Amino acid sequence: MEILKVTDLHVSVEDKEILHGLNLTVNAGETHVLMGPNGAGKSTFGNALMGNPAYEVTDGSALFGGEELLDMPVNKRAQSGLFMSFQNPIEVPGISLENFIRTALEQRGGKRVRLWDFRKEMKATLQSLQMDEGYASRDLNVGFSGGEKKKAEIVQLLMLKPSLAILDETDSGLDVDAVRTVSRGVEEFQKNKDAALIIITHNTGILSSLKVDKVHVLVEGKIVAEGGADLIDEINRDGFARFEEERANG
Amino acid sequence: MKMEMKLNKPLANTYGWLHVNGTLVEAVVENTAALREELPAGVGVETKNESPCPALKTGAGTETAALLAGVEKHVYTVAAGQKIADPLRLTLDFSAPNTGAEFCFSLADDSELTVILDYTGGVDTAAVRTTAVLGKNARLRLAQVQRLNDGVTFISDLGGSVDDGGTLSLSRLVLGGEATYDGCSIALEGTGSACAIDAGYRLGGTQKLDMNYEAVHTGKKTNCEMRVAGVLADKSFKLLRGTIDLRRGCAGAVGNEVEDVLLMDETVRNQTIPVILCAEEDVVGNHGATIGRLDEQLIYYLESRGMERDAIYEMMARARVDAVTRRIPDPQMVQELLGEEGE
Amino acid sequence: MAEEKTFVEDVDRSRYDFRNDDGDSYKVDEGLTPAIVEQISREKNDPDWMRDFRLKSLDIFNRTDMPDWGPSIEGLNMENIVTYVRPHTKMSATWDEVPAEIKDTFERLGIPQAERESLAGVGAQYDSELVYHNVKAEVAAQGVIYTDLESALHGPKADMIREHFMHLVPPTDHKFAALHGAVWSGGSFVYVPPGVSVEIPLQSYFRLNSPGAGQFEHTLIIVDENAYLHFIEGCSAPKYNVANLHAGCVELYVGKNATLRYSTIENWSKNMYNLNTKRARVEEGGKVEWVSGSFGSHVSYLYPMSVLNGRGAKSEFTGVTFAGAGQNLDTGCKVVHNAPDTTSYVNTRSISKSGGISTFRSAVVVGPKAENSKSAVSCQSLMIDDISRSDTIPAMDIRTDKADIGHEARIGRISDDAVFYLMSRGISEEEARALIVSGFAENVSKELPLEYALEMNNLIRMEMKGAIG
Repeated sequence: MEILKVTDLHVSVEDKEILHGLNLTVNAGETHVLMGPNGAGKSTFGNALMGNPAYEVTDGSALFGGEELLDMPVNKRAQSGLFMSFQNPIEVPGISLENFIRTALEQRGGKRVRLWDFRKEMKATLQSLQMDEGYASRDLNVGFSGGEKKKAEIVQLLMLKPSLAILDETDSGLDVDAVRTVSRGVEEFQKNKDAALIIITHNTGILSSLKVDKVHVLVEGKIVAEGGADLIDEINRDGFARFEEERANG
Repeated sequence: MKMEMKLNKPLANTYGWLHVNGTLVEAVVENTAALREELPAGVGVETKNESPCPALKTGAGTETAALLAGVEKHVYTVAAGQKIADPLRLTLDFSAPNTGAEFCFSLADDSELTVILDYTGGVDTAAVRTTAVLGKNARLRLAQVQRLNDGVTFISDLGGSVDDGGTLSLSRLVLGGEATYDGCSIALEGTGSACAIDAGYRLGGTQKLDMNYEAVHTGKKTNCEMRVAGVLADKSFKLLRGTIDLRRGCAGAVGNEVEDVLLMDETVRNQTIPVILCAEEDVVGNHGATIGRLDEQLIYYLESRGMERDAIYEMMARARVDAVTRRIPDPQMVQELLGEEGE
Repeated sequence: MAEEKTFVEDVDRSRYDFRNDDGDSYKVDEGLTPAIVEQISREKNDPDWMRDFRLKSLDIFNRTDMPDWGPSIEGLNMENIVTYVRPHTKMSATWDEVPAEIKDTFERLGIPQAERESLAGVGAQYDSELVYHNVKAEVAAQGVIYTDLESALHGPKADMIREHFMHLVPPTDHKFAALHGAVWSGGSFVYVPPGVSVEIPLQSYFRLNSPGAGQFEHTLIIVDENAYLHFIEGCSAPKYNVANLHAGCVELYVGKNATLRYSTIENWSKNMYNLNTKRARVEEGGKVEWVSGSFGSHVSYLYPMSVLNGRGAKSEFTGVTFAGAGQNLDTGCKVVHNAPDTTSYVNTRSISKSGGISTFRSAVVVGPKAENSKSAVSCQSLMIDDISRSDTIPAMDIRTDKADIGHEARIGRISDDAVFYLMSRGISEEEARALIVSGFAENVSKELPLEYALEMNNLIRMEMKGAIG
């Protein structure tokens, strides 16, 4: 079943075009990896789909479950099942992680979430990630270390249960322990065969333990190569030089 | 006969056209407000007709003493070394028109007390004057919750002095009434004395809040933390004068002041006058203010989790005031104010 | 290069402290009456409207109270102040024609060198008259007008001046604006036509010489659409025992998408009451950049104001104030956001030493029409010793929810660690402290042309001498 179909997506930031016509189709149960060197436009892709006001879509379409994603306000995109983990999650003082997730769930479902059920699930989720239960009552991202912020994003991913999750550099700059937590969360998420995953990354560390269906290599705003998990091995070995040359030559 | 007063005159004036060098208020207080007292063991109480510490500088100004000249003065004392665990709860009912109250808290050396002042009701004017005198290493936590009726003019004035090593912590919540004039002046006289002012408000309609908070550092190594957070909606108005006065001789003193104002409607008006006066070299003074709407990237982040913009504003507005509420040193009051959230 | 070196490094206190014998200069009677104002007007050959304007201003002056919120100006006795002093010379077009005595003054101040080195034009005001004026030929060829205001009142831009003169700073603004309206004298008029970018800065240099004299110069600058100008104002006065008053007025009109940078290094002598009013109005897409160094004066009230009137208008204010012994310098700025998408940035440093008082005072007003406006104010103060004083009195008045307003203030001292670190590299304590203070004022010095930055650092070094003990 097709979850996302992106056609000829053009995106600009401050009047400079970053993505020059990107095509991508994601089916239920699949895990895609979007790789590329720094500045290729990987985060631009995620932010354009999520609707970051700083990114302007100048052309193209993104059908999400058959509906045009690009016409929806950000919160509707989320409510229809899209999730993006932020590279730099914003600090939200005064709102605890658990209060926030509960509020988001209520907004999405349009009905009250019973506190008892919620707390139980929250506890189970934290346990499955081997995270301290104390996280639940801390203010969202406030004073969190880089790793803690990424973990809090994974908690939200598992609690909000989107049909498509985009993980934007969720693994970068993390210590071994945090990478393990993130991997565990991703594996957990992959168990849902109705959902799909796009992992945006410029390194391959996190991917070694994960099931990957398709790899897209993005260079200077265009996808220059696509393939299976074997592409990851090649990039691991040789870097992006071959793809950058190909892009430069045409 | 209403009395005309110029309240909340700051320690340092500024441009006249801003109209912030004090506020003219007309009010009268005719009766003593009904008081319900929960007096923990170890706290002494006495009622007087004269102001117990007339010399103490207060934030709103000396005129409040004249305004409240006719009301009973309740003086609470804690003896040296006594650390009172249970809070002293003082609930004032202002249901009679033009009522007021005056309190004095006198803490001897090494004593501790928590006071919860809870104000409800109100017709026309309600006024409270509070003074606090802290001995060496004394610790007073004083929380004031104002949830008066609509239309009430509320005048709240406080003056405090802190001796060596003492700490005066004030929590102030402004939730009701029509116009609130709130003044606090704390004299940090003793070496190592400290104070904290933690204020929160949520205003709507045509509500008005006019504050004058002062920390006067004369003692060495004194410390002040002023933290004010609030939300303005509709046609509400707020003026905060916050002054950290680092006097000559207060070597090693630190004064910090942080303000955070969330503006919800285009018809609100916010005035902020954050003043640092400094006549001592070896000090640190900081001030930071953030005023306006929510940050776009924060809204985007919350929207990306499926929340509506209005809901985000409501959540963040609540969070600001709730955060101040949660810091009130009395779980019972916190529970009462946070209501269902504490389920 | 040798000349530039002289100009830059020979700045020392004594250089500003010589004075000329004012014996036979023409003076009006002490005190201020309508008759005196009419006399000034006659001497100036004012157009009728200007004479009426002066008399109206005098009336406002007499009815307006002294300010009740700033430093004391009790030392100023208006009755004893000679408001108008005119050296006996006419405007000169070449340096050679300036009388030797006055020329000597400017030679010592380095004005002609500065002009030769790097400036597009120099206007120097000696007491109340502009005695020397020159605009480099190529600037004039671009259609730029740089002249003294009196002659401009009778020149081709006379109507333009009438439309702008004291419209931005009306005499009703405050008592000293009214005084200025009544007795103003001298000053500059600059007009930059649309699309013209003046690549090198224009400079004016003010100087007070007579004891007890007031200086009331008026600077009117109009930068038309899409034009650019950098104007530099320098001020100094020798020392006298009688209180001196400076109540100048600067009005800057910045057109659509135009930019005006206005830099001032003020080093009035330490008996000066500096009650100067500066204001800019900025139209759509325009920008005003204030760079301000305040070192001199006994008392200052100085708050350049930016009125952001057009969509997207911008204001930047960068300032440093150094208050030493006997000085009470109340400085800062005001910004009024009157239109959508306007932005203002304020970045100031103040330093207090040897009993000096410095006050940073500001007001940021964001009106109901100023949606999507941004303002960020940052002020830092440094206390050099424990007999000085440093106050920070900012104000914000916000009347729209669609704004982002930030403010931060910090006050502190020179870190012992930093002094220790520099001393461990062989620098004396005095030098180390001077270096740190210069670094603290870098927000301003890095905005100034090199020779001015160096002059400013010299001033700081001079002020820091004997800072230990």
